[in-house]
Order: sequence, then C-alpha cells, then structure tokens
Amino acid sequence: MGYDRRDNDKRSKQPRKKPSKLLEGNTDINYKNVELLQNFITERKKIAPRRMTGNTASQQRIISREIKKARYMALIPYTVNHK
Amino acid sequence: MTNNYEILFIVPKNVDGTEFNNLSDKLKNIISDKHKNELKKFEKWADRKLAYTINNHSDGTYYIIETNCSSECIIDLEKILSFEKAIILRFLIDKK
Repeated sequence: MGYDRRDNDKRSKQPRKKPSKLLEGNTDINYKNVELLQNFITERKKIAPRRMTGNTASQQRIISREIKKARYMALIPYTVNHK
Repeated sequence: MTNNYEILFIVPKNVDGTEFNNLSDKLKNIISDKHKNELKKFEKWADRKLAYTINNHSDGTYYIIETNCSSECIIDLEKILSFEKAIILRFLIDKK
C-alpha cells in the first residue's frame, strides 16, 4: 500500500478558508449598516462570492438579502456605471 | 394584532420645510390619533448622496419611522406614502 502523493498535492491546492469579516463581533447585519456591507461587494459593485468573503452559507444568504435591500434604497449602487 | 414595522423613505432636497412638516404631521396623526397605535421613532436618519439618480434627484434625506401598529394603520400609511409627491422612495419591513 504505497503512499499516494497525488492526494497530498490535491489537498494542498485547496485555498485556506479566510475568516469572514462577520466574525469580528459585528452582529448588526442590517441593510442600513452600509459600512459592513461594503466589505462584501466587489469593486464592480457585485456581491462577492463565498470563496472571497469566507462566509458560511447561512451568513452569505443573509448578507446578499441585506445588500439587495440596500440597493433598492439607493444606499449601494447596482452597477459601476450609474448616471 | 400589532406588529413592529420600520419604514425608511427618502425626501429630496428641494422639498421645503413647511411641506415636509405637513406630511410628517399627517403621518403622525394617522399612527397616534386615528389608530391609537404606538409611534416609537420618527426622525431623520441621514443626509446622503443617492447611489443612483431617481427621477433626476441625486441627493436626499432619509427619514425613518418605527411603529408598533396594526395592519389597518399600515394600509392607511401606505396610501399616503405612495401618493405623496415629496417622497421618491420608501421601504417598509416588519421587524421581528
């Protein structure tokens, strides 16, 4: 039973899970808390994926819902090239 | 049966004080006098530049209302908020 080097290489390629910005005790996830939501959108004003933010699935669902509310209320832009 | 509601609405900069005072009095009367519900908060939330222009307005004042009121009261509020020219955008959610 030789030691299979391929598995070891595959595991090392997996990106280390970045800790989410939500873990810094900021429990006020609210569409009005624009400073917090800014951490979760890209430069193109799109919602950042989990692999970038390091959120858990439930955190990501809450964050994306609040970002969509903030976009509706003109607190966060939908795209980069707004008039 | 009453719920906690939060209403955020935007008033453009060119609306003068008297017009806004009439509007705020109208809203307050509906909540506290007509339906005898509790008006927790009615204040200015922020003066902000809008992220995108709405009806050619690029600046606005955000006002927030927090109430504990019945659904009939909300229906009356919605009528005023939707027809009022001085309000360009509104957002009503129930706070669990």
